[in-house]
Amino acid sequence: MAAAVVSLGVLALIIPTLADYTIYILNIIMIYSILAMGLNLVMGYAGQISLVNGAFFGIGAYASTLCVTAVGFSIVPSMLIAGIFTAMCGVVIGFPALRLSGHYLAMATLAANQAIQLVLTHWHSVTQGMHGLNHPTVSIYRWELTSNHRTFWLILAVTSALFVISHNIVNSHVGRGFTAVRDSEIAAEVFGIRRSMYKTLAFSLSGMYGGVAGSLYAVVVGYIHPSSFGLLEAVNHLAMLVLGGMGTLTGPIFGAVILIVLPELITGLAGFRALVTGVLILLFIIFVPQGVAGVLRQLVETRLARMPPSERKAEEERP
Amino acid sequence: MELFLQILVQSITHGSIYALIGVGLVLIFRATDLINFAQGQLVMIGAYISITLSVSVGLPVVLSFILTLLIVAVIGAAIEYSVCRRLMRAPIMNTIIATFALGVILQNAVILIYGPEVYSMPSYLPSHPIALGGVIVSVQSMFIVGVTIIVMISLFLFLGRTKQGRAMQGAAENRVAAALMGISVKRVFARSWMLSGFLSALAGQLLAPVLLVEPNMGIIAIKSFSAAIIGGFGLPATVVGGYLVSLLENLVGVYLTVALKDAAAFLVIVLVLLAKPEGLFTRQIRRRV
Amino acid sequence: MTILELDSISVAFGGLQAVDGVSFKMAKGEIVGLIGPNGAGKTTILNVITRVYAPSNGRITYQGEDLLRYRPDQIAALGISRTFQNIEVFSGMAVVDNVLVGAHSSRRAGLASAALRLPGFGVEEAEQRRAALSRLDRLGLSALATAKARDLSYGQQRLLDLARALSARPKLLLLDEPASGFSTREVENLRELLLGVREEFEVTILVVEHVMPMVMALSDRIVVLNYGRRIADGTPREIRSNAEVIQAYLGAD
Repeated sequence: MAAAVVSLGVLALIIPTLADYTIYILNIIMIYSILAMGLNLVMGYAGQISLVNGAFFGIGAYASTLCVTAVGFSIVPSMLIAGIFTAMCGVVIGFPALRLSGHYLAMATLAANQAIQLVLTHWHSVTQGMHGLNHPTVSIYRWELTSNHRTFWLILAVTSALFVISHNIVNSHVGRGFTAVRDSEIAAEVFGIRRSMYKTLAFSLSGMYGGVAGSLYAVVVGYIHPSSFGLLEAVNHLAMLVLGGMGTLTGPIFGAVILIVLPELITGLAGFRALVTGVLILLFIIFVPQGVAGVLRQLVETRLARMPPSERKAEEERP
Repeated sequence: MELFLQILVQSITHGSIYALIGVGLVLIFRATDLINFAQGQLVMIGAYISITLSVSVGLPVVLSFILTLLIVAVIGAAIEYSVCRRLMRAPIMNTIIATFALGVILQNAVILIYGPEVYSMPSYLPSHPIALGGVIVSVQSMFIVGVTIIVMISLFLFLGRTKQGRAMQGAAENRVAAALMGISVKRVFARSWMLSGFLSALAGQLLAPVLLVEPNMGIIAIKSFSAAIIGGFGLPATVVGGYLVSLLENLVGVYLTVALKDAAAFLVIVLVLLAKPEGLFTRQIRRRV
Repeated sequence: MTILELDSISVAFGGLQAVDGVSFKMAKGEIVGLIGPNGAGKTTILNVITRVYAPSNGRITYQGEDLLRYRPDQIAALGISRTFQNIEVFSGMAVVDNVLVGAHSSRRAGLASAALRLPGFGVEEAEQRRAALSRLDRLGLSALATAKARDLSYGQQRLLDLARALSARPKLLLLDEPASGFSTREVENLRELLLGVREEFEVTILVVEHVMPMVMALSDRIVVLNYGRRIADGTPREIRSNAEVIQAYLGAD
């Protein structure tokens, strides 16, 4: 707790000094880490393949923007509504998951992702289709979010809250329920874990996270367009999990950092970026499937294993 | 009535393409228990290589056609050897992600090499349409259907009558038994990917004069996923599935709206997977504990 | 007092009749062995009781209620628990978490409580964790509490499977070949363990097993299946001298 307060204080001092573009990148990293956290719950913990996350991102962005522009809600309620609405979409999408697994589930979620993108593109009356939607500057009570610096604090708050929630879920019987369904559906049911409910829950959580991320994304970039929420986006989310590490709490954060920072280091054509993303995913899934977080965890465990038992016990019992 | 016949012709033409690609998908699945999410990109590469060889390099049409088939077959084998073989013991999710990533790589590599513009493949057949009993049929359509029929028949003969062919169908179900029977599992894998590459390149080259050749043309493979799902990943059934999907989407396109045409394939995927995931033509399989 | 009664249970898979009109009863606190050659339908019986399979015919009464009304995920709350022939531990989870899942059905807390750490969650979690660690200790696995289940040896995984089943505090415990692959000494330890468990928790046990010395020494009664039918039901002594059983099963040994 003390650590959190101190870090917050340090941030309050540093953030104002950073350049606008740097803050913008930090904002994007946090938004993408939310996406990755949500996808991690359904893929890393519950073991269900989900290629529909790009669409959840889009649904959230549109739902939130429409709440702000068409209905006139302020940003926080809009974000919550977007989260809940996308969570419900997650329930609907999760329905095929109940009877499918592996390849079939991948195909079904892929089809759903494309279908939803089609809807966003063609439902002119609601989404303005290929014109895209503008997102105005919003404010929280009187505080206007006119700059990336100000938006940073909102995003930080939301990201931290969602991180804590995912940590709480993972380290609880619910989280164990997810991994039980992943590792052995049959045994899970024997011990009272209703797999249909847990699978649906996993998808709806990934929907909620995706929806909230979409809402924040609209605030930050100010303009949304259906083309941003298709297959390439789903690939990006996948990349975050594979590179960062599935099934760990820090994996999504590493993944988001890598995904967003890497292109900054490789300046070049957009096509080059996508190619590098693809190559990284392939290399990692073959040679480092546990991702960066997984590698770090192995290093920690090796270090623990080399310690004499007394020291090791003390290390393991540290919270 | 004439309209319906026209739709039928269109459906048979496109259905043939879906069937070709779908069979490629199923071959890999039945041999290696893996779904190749990069199948569409193999089709796309077939089209691009074909254009390069015939237009840029200037080879005679027949030569470039056959050469393309061989090249993509080799690419298929290379993918199997470098990627799939390393993932033989990995969880399913990893293999799905891997072929997915492969598709991304192939597509973006093409964009880098050729640029994102669209190409037009000059037609290698006479382009005047023929009237057949009140219906307009292009020579290309007849070529597509004709080639598909010949290839399918040859393929089914190969799979049903030869030892290697039968091995390809059984290897996925029981690798150990197959290996014990003296079937080289690795060779079966390689052959199935090569055949799949061959079929994809064929589809790509049949398509190229009809559609625009652009990096995203691989998206057509989703229709073939539909076909394979309808067919429960069984071989003749997938072919039937290809024609069914094509018929359905053409009917939707003409009698409903064009915008929903693509959605028809997605809808089929979702509906079939919900109602009868093992396909419309198969019996249910159960896992025993 | 009868706790479980199977009445003419039949199970068919497509054209294959796996179980054909099997009936038997179990009294509270009994240990019943279920034996028979491979493919006799023993695991299928367990799967029907745990509602993984639906019988094509017959009834199952558990504690006076119709068991067939319940879904597979509801039987844990009724006090039925099991181990598996193929072990089926949660390989990616830590050993202690595996055991915690065993107690899942008795968790009162819901998603909101877990996600937001509402009051009451922490206490229940800590209590269950303590119980899980103590359970591991009783089975000699406490040194491995934080290890991943997939890293355990075969024998250790079998014990983990058992620890997980016991952690559900069952009234009826179904064991599917728990001694498979065990040495003579390990079999004896298991036998004593199960007898102790029965003592302490007043649990009724149905054991499917091939290891004859174990079944004979452990069971109060033995039910014998062959080709899906019950061919004998009696004490170990009676079964040992039953001609039909010997012919079908023991004789082939």
